[in-house]
Amino acid sequence: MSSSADPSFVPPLPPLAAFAGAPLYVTGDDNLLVTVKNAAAGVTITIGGRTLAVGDADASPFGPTIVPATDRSDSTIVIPLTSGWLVSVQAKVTAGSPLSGQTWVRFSLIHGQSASSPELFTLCSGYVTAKKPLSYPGGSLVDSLDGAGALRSIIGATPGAGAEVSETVPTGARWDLIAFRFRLASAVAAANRFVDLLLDDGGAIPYAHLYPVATAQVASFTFDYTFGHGLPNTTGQQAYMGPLPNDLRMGAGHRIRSSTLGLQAADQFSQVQYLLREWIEGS
Amino acid sequence: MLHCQSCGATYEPTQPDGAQYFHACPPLSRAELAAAVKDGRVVLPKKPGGKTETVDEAMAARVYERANKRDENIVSTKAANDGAILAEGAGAVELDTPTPARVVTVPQA
Repeated sequence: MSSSADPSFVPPLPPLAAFAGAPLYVTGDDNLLVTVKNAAAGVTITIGGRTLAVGDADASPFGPTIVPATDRSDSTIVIPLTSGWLVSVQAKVTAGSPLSGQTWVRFSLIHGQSASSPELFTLCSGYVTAKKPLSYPGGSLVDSLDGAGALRSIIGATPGAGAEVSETVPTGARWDLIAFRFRLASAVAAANRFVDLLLDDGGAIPYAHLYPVATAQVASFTFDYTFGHGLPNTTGQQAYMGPLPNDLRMGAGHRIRSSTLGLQAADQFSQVQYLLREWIEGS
Repeated sequence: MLHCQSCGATYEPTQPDGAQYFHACPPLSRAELAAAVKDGRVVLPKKPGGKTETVDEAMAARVYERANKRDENIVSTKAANDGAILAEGAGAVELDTPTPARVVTVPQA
């Protein structure tokens, strides 16, 4: 039955109680927009829900799936709603194993049929995992920067000979850097190499300039450099270490990079590895 | 394993956990800036008093980016950008020879 039904029609409100929750009245022009931002591989999300059309006594289920992009960009799906009530909806991970902090979902009511239609109402939002769906009613509005974040260990790029280490926070991500490690093999060219770690926003001036120790790495040696929360500033056997700022949040485009006084053309950085907590930015 | 044609870096586009890796070229190192100064691609500025900056002084004062810098990060997370990256640079090519694995399982004797 359409929204132009007999105005004397009495909605079946008493039976609605049997559906539980808080059914949301929608017109025939309102639709459900599902937006997913995802950084994990192999994720499929199934949207399960029920609507009750005006004049119907039984709810109708819907269950489309969405395979979100893995670059944290918006993946959207518009689910058409008929005139009546949105009884419930949930997003459930049905393939993949995203960590909390990697796959974020938002349900919105829109007036129109495209993802760019005006949003009328945000039902709920939050991270989903294989064990934690996002449901309405009952779900709250959780910002993508909330929570413990996803713990990730990342293999960085190996620079070309004579080039510095540089790792960039991806678009749509926020990082809390916990530890950062790399190796430098100095070539035979005689020079004192002093390796620093710079943290910057992609511009010219770093906001942190970290010095492990004031000891040079000379020619023909291989040293490991480790920076981390709580580490002392010290030198070991062919190893340097230094502290990182605590609770350091880095936004998209920010860089973690080495800067080496005395670096020679044949010097080689390698084994770049780092540990961090990650969130989706821009929800 | 990919090889960046702009900066010479090698990297895996997919991490062991399956997540995408987005390479972005580093600024010039001291060694690279010294080479650029030597072959005339970079002219270092004069200091007060007329002397030319040294490479180390220039490195401490500013960042030197490569003209063909590659940055694989997407322009925006809005769906309309549809995966467009910030800078193609000189591109990246697949390496012919696979890199030896970092973890090797040795059969029992």
